[in-house]
Amino acid sequence: MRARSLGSLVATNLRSSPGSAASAVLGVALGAAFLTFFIGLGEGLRSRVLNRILPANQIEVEPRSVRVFGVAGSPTGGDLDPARLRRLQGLPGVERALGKQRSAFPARLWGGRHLIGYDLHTEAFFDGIPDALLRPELEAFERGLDLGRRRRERCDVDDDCPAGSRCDEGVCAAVRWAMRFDSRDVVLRCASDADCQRGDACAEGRCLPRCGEGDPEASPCGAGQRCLPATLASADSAGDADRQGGAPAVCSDRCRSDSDCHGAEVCDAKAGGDGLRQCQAVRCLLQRAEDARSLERTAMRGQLAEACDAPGGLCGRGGACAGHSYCAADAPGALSGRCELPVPVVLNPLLLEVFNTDMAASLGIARVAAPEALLGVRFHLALGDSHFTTDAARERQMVRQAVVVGFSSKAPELGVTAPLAAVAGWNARFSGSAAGSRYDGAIIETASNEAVSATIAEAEAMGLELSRRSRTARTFGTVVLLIYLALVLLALVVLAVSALGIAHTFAILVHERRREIAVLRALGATTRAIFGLVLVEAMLLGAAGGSLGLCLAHLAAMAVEAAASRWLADVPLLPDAFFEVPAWSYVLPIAVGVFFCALGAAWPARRATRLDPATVLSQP
Amino acid sequence: MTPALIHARRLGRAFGEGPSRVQALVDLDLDVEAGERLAITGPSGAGKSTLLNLLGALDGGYLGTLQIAGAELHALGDRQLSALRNRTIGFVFQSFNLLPSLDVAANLALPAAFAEGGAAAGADPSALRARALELLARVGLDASVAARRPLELSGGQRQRVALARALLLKPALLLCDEPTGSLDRAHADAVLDLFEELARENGSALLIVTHDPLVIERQPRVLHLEAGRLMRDERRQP
Ligand SMILES: Nc1ncnc2c1ncn2[C@@H]1O[C@H](COP(=O)(O)OP(=O)(O)O)[C@@H](O)[C@H]1O
Ligand SMILES: [Mg+2]
Repeated sequence: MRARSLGSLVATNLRSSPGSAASAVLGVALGAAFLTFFIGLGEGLRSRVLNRILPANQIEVEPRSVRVFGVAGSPTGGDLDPARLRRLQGLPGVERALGKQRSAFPARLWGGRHLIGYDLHTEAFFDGIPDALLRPELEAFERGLDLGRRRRERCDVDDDCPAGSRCDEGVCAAVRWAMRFDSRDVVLRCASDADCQRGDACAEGRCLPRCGEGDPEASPCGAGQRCLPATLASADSAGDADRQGGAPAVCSDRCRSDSDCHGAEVCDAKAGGDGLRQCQAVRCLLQRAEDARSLERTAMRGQLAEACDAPGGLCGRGGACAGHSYCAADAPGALSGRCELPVPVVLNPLLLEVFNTDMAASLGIARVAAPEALLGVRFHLALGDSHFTTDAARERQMVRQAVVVGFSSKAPELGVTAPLAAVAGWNARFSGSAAGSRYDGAIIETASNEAVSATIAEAEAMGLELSRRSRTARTFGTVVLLIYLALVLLALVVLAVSALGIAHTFAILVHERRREIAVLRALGATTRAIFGLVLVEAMLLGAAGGSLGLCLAHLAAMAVEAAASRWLADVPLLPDAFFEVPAWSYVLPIAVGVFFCALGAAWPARRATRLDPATVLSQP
Repeated sequence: MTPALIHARRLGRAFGEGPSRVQALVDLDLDVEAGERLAITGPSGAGKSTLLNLLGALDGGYLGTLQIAGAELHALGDRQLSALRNRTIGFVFQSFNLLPSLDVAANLALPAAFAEGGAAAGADPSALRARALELLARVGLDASVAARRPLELSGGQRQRVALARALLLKPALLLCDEPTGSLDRAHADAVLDLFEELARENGSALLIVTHDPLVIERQPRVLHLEAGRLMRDERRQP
């Protein structure tokens, strides 16, 4: 049968019985709207709330510990050391296993003067997280802020620009803060190997990974690094290499220009034997000892320095630490230092909420308008120093700057999250080399959501347990999934009921049109054509109902979003949107409407094919 | 030798089971050649409509042998039976021939919509349109009628449209069940003239079920049915 004739017949049929068509469409529209609305909400909650805390294919495990009266005792399952991390990594279904470390040394932080008028002082706790784990979320967060939207604004200094962006050659430019959460920019200073993590050696005042031992395939050196004897890495000439045969080899950054170097290091002027040069720290001098605790631009950047005969061995040579770097003092009270980039840190958004809702009110200070106002804000860290406990030896203490580069729900609510390399390095420096290579937890990413349960069992067999955070996320995820499924089931029930309505409507329609159907059969319509005629009519109704449902669902979602942003704006931790509207959610209600109408009309359509034209036409 | 258009032997049809069983048609033998004209007559309940439905391949529940254009209907599937009704047979019923929701033009075009393969007149939409308009003119209707709905037409006009539609795909067999039953005398005569004329032009065999003596008188062959039996098969020179 020709599609066009069939179409026009169906269209005329639809037009000729608008009443029953409308009531049938309404039920389907309602069901399709429910389904679309609930799926959009469920998907939104899962991706915007759950996945921010822990994605479904990620778990966090910790060494099992004995808790006595709520106080964590020593781990019973043994440490989570690099060897066990590799075992986790090797489990079937595991994509990657990344270690986490908490700080095991006292620290203080202070800052905020620029933001709230005076400095807040607090004890600092650090979480070290591999940058690869956090970067995607930080980038997503930053895209959401759309820092570049007012890029064109003219400016003289950064303060002229919207929060989170900076002044670049007279116009405001977006800053890619997430890119700054990079462990390669973390430079760990040391005086001897004892200051460094196990496996690192102290070469030219910084901790570098040892290499050249054991399997050359498993070299710890990254791209752009070379394995060189430690003395060569720090020595002035390549000719010394033979004489220092006993020295350990380390991964040394080799460069052609400054842009090959990380942190605030520059490419040395002298070329080595291989024609490549070496990344070197830039020496600097502070004017006054207090400048180490200043965030004032000229004071903190110090003056570039070079070796000379002066007391302390350094003389100023003009210029200051470049770009974002500042002059980090070699020791508390010292004037000499090296240019360093501030340590990039990430905060939990809850911290901001707590500050705004509780602290700001009780302290009578200004609230911080939006998270982006904190991006790029610097504060000071006094590592090894404490208000409460025993300080580290004064000569080991360090005063460093940190800069806020983003927010993440994966960061602990209270505390500061830094690249793992920084926290591991500091742990080694203050609590011994072994502390630098012992993980407090591991994030395990599985290839699929289905592999998670098996991985948990394996990890538990290794004496590990799910972290509280991971347990909560899994429980919450299960609850949300169950509610989600229940609502989807409800929507399916509504659709099933509306399919019954369609069946009823079409049973009546087929009965009313039995003479027409008999005439069509007499004219040569096959039973298939009759079946198709009824079914296509129902499917068109379904498509109309589905489209109506799509509109209803999207209107309802928009209304809910608008109401939420109006009434729930101050509630902490709520996502900026509740609904996820993937492309398929535009097709789904229409497909569902078509399907359920076809389902409902299938039986009446079959009855239409069973009509005996001779009998029908003989009836008066 | 081409087979007879209709070849029926010991053709029977019963309705119902057990005590309520009705023998609507009993042991009927019939041969109709291409282009023949027949009237089928008999009292009410004699089985005239039953016979016509069987000959029109609308009712497959018969006993005996029934071949239309050489094909035994029992051996045909739904597709082949539909194609037979579509191509070989044209129907005009006493009433309710036209779909009220479609206009006259769309009603006229319906057989083409169900034509498989599209080799016939329905293949080319413009040729089909031309044929429909030509038939409309031929049955004495104005072209303006094409856009009207069946309910806006008189009974005579509707039967003319039904005739035009039955002839659209040039069927070899034209079956009419009391086509003038609901028309008054004057209209009935005019419509009947048209049926005979067009069937002749088209080369179609014409079978008319009727009570009307005037109609019967005009046919060269008359079948008399009574209680499901063929009582007389009269041939005469009109
Ligand atoms: N579908 C049917 N079911 C039961 N009986 C039927 C059916 N069709 C026809 N009959 C019976 O068969 C007989 C012949 O009917 P019909 O062919 O309509 O007669 P006519 O058209 O000559 O008036 C009648 O007794 C009628 O009641
Ligand atoms: Mg009858």
